[in-house]
Amino acid sequence: MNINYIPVLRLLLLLWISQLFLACSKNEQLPEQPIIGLGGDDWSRSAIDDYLFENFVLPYNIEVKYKWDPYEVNYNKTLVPPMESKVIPVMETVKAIWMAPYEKVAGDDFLRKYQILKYVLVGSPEYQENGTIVLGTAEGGNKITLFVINYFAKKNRQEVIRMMHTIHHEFAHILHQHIAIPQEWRGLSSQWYTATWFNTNNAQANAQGLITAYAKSSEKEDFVETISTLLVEGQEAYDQVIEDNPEQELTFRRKEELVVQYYKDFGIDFRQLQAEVKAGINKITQD
Amino acid sequence: MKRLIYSIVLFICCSLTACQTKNDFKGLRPDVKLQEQLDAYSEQLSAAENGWIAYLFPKSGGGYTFKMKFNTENRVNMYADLNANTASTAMESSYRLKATQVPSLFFDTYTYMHLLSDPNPQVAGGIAGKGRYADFEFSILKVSQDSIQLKGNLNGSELLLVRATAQQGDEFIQQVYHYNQQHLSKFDQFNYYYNKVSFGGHSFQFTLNRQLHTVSFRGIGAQDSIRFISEFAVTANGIQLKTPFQIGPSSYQTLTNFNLNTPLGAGTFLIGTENAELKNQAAPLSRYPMDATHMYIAKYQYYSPTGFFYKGVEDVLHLQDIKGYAGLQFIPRRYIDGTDVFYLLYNNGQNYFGPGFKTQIDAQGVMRFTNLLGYDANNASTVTDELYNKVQQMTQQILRPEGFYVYRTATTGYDLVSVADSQLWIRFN
Repeated sequence: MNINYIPVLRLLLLLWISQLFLACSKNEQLPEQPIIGLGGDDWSRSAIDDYLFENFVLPYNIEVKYKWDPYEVNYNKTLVPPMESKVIPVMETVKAIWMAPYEKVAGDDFLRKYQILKYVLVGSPEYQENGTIVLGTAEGGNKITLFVINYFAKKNRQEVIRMMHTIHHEFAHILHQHIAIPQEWRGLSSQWYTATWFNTNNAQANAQGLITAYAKSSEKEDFVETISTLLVEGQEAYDQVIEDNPEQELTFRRKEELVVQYYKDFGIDFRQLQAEVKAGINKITQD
Repeated sequence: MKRLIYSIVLFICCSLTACQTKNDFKGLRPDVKLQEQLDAYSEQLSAAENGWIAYLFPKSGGGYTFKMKFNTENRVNMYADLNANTASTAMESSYRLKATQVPSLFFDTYTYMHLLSDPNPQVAGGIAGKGRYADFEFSILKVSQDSIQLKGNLNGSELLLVRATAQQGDEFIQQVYHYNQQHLSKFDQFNYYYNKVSFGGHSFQFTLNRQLHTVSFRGIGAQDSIRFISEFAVTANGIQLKTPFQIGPSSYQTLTNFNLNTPLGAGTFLIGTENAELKNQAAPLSRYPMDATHMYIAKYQYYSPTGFFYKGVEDVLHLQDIKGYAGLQFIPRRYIDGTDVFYLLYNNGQNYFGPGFKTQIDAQGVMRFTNLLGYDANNASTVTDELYNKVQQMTQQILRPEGFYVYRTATTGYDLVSVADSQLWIRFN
């Protein structure tokens, strides 16, 4: 007997597969209990939470995390959460010296377009193995971690400038992730970039045509350090550095020019922004 | 043909098994269970009407006592026995229970507990970048009605929460702090270094290290194989050991009711429930010759905030009068030729000045500092006459030819006791 059983097999397979669909018409139900921690943690809201919600979440969709979350920071570092009493003063300062100037000069929507989505506040600095400490980091163009919150005081002008330098520094990183650093920047100070930037102090860096020691660490750090120094320490401080290092005047002025030009691409008058930041610093430290 | 038959059999088999399991999952889902567990912990923490007494043992040593009161709104009120201020003024901060790999208790904004974790060594000592290796996020390991055992998630320090009684009110930590100041401080005020403690037919050489919060027992006579060191935390009437002290079948976790008479050099206290008698004496009771060698190689540098004790007086050379005094340092092998140094730190620790010498350790475990090579400073222009004279006095004591016995009193803490005069000693950590 020699029958062709291939079609029969095919038929059986088809039948079997269709059975799979028919046989088990179960009602799949999703569990009602949500997964724990999905969508963040819950806690009873305090006055700080209300302030942050009204001033940052509602208008800008910016999350400010001040309660400890080990997964937001370097897990292998020893860090501590901020003191509650420092949270509102820090965020008021951020608002007055970073957000208000940009909004005034570039329009209300600028910060919604080029956005920092999340601030993470940490009480202490982050210590590096090479003996330096980290004061702030930016990640993925939308998250800024601010360290040393516990040492913050509005009256302490130096401390306000140091912290706002960090924020303007990190925000400049976010800007150059949207529009690249000008091509002309390349080559201005390239010979000085080094991973061991911390072996140089600011004065030595200035003499090499870099505005701070950290500017020596790479091209993009050089770029954003120049921006944040021009904005936060201010034009006077920048001019003073040039005066002290006349042989680097060309480099410094060229960098300044490029920064002003760069901000034009965003439609921002850099000079006006400088003035607004300065006014903001004066307002906060004199309150 | 055979294949066809096999296929049909297989088909029937498949059809039979396809719809065997129609049962839905009947148990509780993990998220429900987890939430229930967190709620239960939260309920237990906040339900304690007198709050909780917490004993924290950071990974780097020591033990600290806290009083905490949790409410249902993620707020916790805390006292700590770290200093007079933290003992008397409460600080409010926030806490939450979080489902990490093990359900965890987070102290998630800054409070007294974080002082020990602060990576800035100026806050509460420790190492730059690490602090005291303490924790403020803890996995909940073991729960009973009146106690909760936790372990730090980052450094693995230990935290024990014990439900407070009605007597342990808001001033409890102040009592703890005063107990430390009034009673335990007497251990630094005895005439001689050596304390003999006897109880239940056993005798030990005993030290209580208030800097590192440790006790050490060294057996004398029949117990000479026993050597026990443990961290402790202070309670309102004594101390609570981190590790129980085991002798044979007996186990002791508390030392209480200290009644010490420093002029007489005698005292009593309770170990567990047994009466212990303390006798302060001039002659060494036990010796571990290896301690000297261990001290020399175990750590790169040793630090003493207090300086020399003599006849129960702290800092007998008045080194602390020096402007910006920040302690003494012993650095074995400071220089590559084997020169060791004793530095006095001044100008808030920015500057140092002190003698360089060679160290000899003999078979009896006596450490001798010899061959004074001169003095070493990192900024010679800031060395005043006063400083120079003090350091010379200090050097005379250090270089006494009889040398020092070395006793380990903590994991990396050592005491140096003058061989010539057991009234003179210095504590390093």
